[in-house]
Amino acid sequence: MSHMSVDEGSVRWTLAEAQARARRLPARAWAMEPRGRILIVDDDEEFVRMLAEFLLAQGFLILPAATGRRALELLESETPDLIVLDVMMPELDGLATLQAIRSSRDIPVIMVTARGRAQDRILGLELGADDYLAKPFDPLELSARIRAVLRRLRQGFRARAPLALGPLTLNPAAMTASLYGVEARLTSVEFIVLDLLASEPGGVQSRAALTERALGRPLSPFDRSVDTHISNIRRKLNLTPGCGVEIRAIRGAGYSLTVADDAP
Amino acid sequence: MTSLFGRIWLSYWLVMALTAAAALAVSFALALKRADDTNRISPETLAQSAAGQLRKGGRDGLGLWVMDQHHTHPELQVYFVDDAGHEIFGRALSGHALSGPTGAVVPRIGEPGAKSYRVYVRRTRDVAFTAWQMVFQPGILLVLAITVSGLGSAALARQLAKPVERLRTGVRAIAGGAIETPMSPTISGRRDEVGGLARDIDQMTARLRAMIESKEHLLRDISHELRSPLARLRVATRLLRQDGATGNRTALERIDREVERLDGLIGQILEYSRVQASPPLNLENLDLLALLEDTAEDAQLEAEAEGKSVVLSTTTPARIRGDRSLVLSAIENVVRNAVRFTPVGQPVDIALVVVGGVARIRVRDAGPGIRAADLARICEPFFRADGTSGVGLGLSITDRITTLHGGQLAARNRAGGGLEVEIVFPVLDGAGAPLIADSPRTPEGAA
Repeated sequence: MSHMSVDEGSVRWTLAEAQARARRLPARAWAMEPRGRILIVDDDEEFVRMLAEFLLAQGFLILPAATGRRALELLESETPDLIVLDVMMPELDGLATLQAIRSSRDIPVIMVTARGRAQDRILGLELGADDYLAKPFDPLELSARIRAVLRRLRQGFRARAPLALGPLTLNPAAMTASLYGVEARLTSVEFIVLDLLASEPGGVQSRAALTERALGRPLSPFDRSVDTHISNIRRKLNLTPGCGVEIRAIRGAGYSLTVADDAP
Repeated sequence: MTSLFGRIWLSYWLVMALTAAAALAVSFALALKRADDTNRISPETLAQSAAGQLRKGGRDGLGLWVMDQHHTHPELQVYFVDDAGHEIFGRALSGHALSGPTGAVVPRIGEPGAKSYRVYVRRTRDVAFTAWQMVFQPGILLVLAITVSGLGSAALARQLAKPVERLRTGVRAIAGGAIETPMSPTISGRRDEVGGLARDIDQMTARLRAMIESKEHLLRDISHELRSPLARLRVATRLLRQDGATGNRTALERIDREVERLDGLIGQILEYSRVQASPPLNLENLDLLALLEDTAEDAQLEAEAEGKSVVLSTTTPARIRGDRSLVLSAIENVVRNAVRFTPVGQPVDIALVVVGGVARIRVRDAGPGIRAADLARICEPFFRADGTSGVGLGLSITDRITTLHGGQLAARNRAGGGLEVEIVFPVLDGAGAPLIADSPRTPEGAA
């Protein structure tokens, strides 16, 4: 494992060099408003430096942190729009960091992992990450996903009135949902998935449509992200059989949300 | 009987029954000898003995002797009759008694210089063994002894075999993959050899666990170490493009493609190495058909992009006991392999049938197939048939996963061209009993 440390000095240096490089780019990239402030948490200094350079050119502002602990420290004073979090780090690993972040903040998180196995990759989603990417990935894909997540947050939910479906209530302004008055905090992806299903009770939303509309990318084969988000929604809202609201998987078709007729 | 309980029981029982029989035989022999001795006492001998007593102790002495005699040989009655025909101790005499079996000669004894008496010996019965005494009495005793010792030794054998049986249950659980659970404290808490063995097994599984954990840890580290440079490489090529390295776009694309290929290969090598090490299986009851439908759906999505298709043609519901992620990966490898080799426009056909306690998943492509001589080698790592590109590790991984689940993999060429790969899993029977306990677990991976 590479244990290169990114200390304060090198952080500034990373940004300075990246900005210097970015300035050589066409004016278009740099002149516009920053698209968002991204906290990158990864112990691979070289990787962070290059990624920062790329994302700066894409119009994001970058704040690097070499360890999970450092990221939590930074979060006490800074409020990034999104966090890119590596799973494998010394000291506090990505999953523990994610749990610590989720216990207090609702900042969207994209997990990045060099672990190989499918279940290792999906682990971050179960703990409340908004999306994940397996290393090695195309940075262009990362920037597309960052934009998709940020776009969701600016989708104008805040202006919408709460939606009530039997015992289920969706509150777009706070991105929360409650069942029988018990409120559950959902990630932005989870909320959008639930919102899509609730917008047409009894209807079927395909996995492809849900992936496209909630995650902002086409469904790729063997991608089980949507299924994990759905199971998170079920767990967080405590959608037990007989509770009046059911999200059913319809094999080969997708998912469907139904509200029982006799539900209060 | 081949069980430990049976053998302990049988040997204890045999020993106890033999001991009882021997004891009976000895006491029988002793009784026989005593009877024989009694029968051999002749009236003359008795008369001599009585005469001696009479001389020494007079009639009183003789009286004591009679009582003594009655005590030691109750079946012999000795009478003393004077000339007047009276028994000297006043005992009643019957004619029958006096015509004892000893016959004509009636010995006489007398006090010196006084009267003399005739001595009659009456045998109340001849000391001989009746059928009852000879056969039935010892027989009943023997049967009783055998029954009692049988019950006793069963209890004893049970006492000895029960902890071993419990130990076995624990070891079977470990063999079935429950490597996290220690032996039950009722066993490992024992102070005898069985308890010691249980503690040794606990120590062994702890070590095994540590080994598997460190191996998993190592594989994660390897994954991280190998993929981190690839991740940097991928960012580097993107930065090059951003800087306007347009002249070499194809070269950059080639680098990206090679990075992807290397990434896939790393994933396969790590997965292969993981399944070779007999990882603990996360067993649950799986709906095989549902898994197959999911895989077919995903593979169809992938195949569409290349102008191919995946069809799930024959389906039978089947439940198996297995590790979800491993079973999924086993099916996925075979299906993706078939998609790779089937020509554009040709479908990959998947069928699931359940015959004779096993579920057979058949995946057929319309590709070139494999030379008959090479069919057996298809599961070898990095096997490369003549004229075809390598299939990598996918089938080797699937082969290992099916073996871990008590199943197997077979490949054959189809009559109409193309390859058929069949993977077999034992199905759960109606009672829900897992068949996996009987699966062969090769130890080479643990080394």
